[in-house]
Amino acid sequence: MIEQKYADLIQKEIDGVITDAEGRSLKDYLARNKEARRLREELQKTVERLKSVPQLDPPPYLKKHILNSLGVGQPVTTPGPRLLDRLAKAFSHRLAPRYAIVFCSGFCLGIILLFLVLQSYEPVSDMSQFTGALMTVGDTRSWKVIDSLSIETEDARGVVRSLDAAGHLFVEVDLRSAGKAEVELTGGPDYAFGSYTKLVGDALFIEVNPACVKISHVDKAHYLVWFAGGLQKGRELDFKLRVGATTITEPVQTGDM
Amino acid sequence: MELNDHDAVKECLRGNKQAFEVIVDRYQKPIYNLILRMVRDPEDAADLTQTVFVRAYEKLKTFDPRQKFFSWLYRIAINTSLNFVNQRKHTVRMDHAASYEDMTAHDQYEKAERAEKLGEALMRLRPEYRAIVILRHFHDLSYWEIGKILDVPEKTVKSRLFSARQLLRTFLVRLGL
Repeated sequence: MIEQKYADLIQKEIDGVITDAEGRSLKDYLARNKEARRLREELQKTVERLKSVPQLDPPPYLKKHILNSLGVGQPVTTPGPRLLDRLAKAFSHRLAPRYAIVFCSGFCLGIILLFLVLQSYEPVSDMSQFTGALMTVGDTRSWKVIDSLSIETEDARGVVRSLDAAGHLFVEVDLRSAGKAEVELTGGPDYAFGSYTKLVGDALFIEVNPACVKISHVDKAHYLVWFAGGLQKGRELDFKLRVGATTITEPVQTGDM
Repeated sequence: MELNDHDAVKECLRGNKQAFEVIVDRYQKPIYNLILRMVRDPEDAADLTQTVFVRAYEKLKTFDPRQKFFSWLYRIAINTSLNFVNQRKHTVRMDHAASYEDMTAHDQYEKAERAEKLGEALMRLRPEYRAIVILRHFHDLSYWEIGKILDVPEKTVKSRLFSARQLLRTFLVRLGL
């Protein structure tokens, strides 16, 4: 039988928070209680074992996935001086006006380019534009469109397409929305969603589980999701879009895979 | 100069999403390891880690700057893990039952790695106990910090830790460690 007080002291000793007085008291108790000695030894062994377990590195893709989910992709920098401060500093130097002109021109050019990139956003018609892990699924040029669903509402427009990618089923969700939209794809029991790739857009959150894909807060998005397995010939997928008070539910055919 | 946690949070709240990258860089490894010890499966752990950071980002406005940021983040991670573990409780229990039977058949665990056995033993603990052991031993947190994260009194942390260690010892002995 071990008195609770001393059991607590054993724990405190193991955790390194025992006082000197408590340590002496415990030492005396251990000297006359074999059971307490055994408990202490066993707990110490357990803790030693736990200490031997190494910390593992997370998978290398994890950070990218997290940041992609949040629409963050660029390395962070600490806030620098404000633009006006920079300009003032530049003009205070003899050679500064030249640098300032270059700086302003670069800045304006950047803004124009960014504007053009945003304006030139179009659905990806050329499958070869898909990059990364998707390239491992055969030749993307051979992908075939199985079904195509056009979305045309007051608040949203785009296309949802099912694709036969060398025997794998992919679904492309390409949407632009005036308000915050939510997209839901449900595969039913015969399908298991595997993963996704965001190609364009700044959707705040995508959730993929085997039964369902949900994309929330869509402003402008272009996603490609794929199925891990369990493909059945000709089973439909359910596509649901919610924008404001409007909900659209449409089946998407998956064809003869 | 790298932002500290509180400054990174402030920047995020001002709309600088990229400041969140500092937080991800700093905490993805401990959070991943915390969740991995809780759920054991690396893929689940990666998915849940992603969920934790997304939730944290969405809830940043609710973060009280008087708190330590890591305590707040760990709390989200623990709650996310506990929800996940509780949802699959049925499966886990079945797995445990099967493992237990296997163990009495002797040879199943003899070639297993020590870490693997420790993971196994940890998974046999009730999730609430497991969380305490993980926070104490893998993250070196104090009783007080653990109490804050799990929202239980320090006294409860001590008593649960004591029980958890004894149970763990029993499981490890059964597993041949």
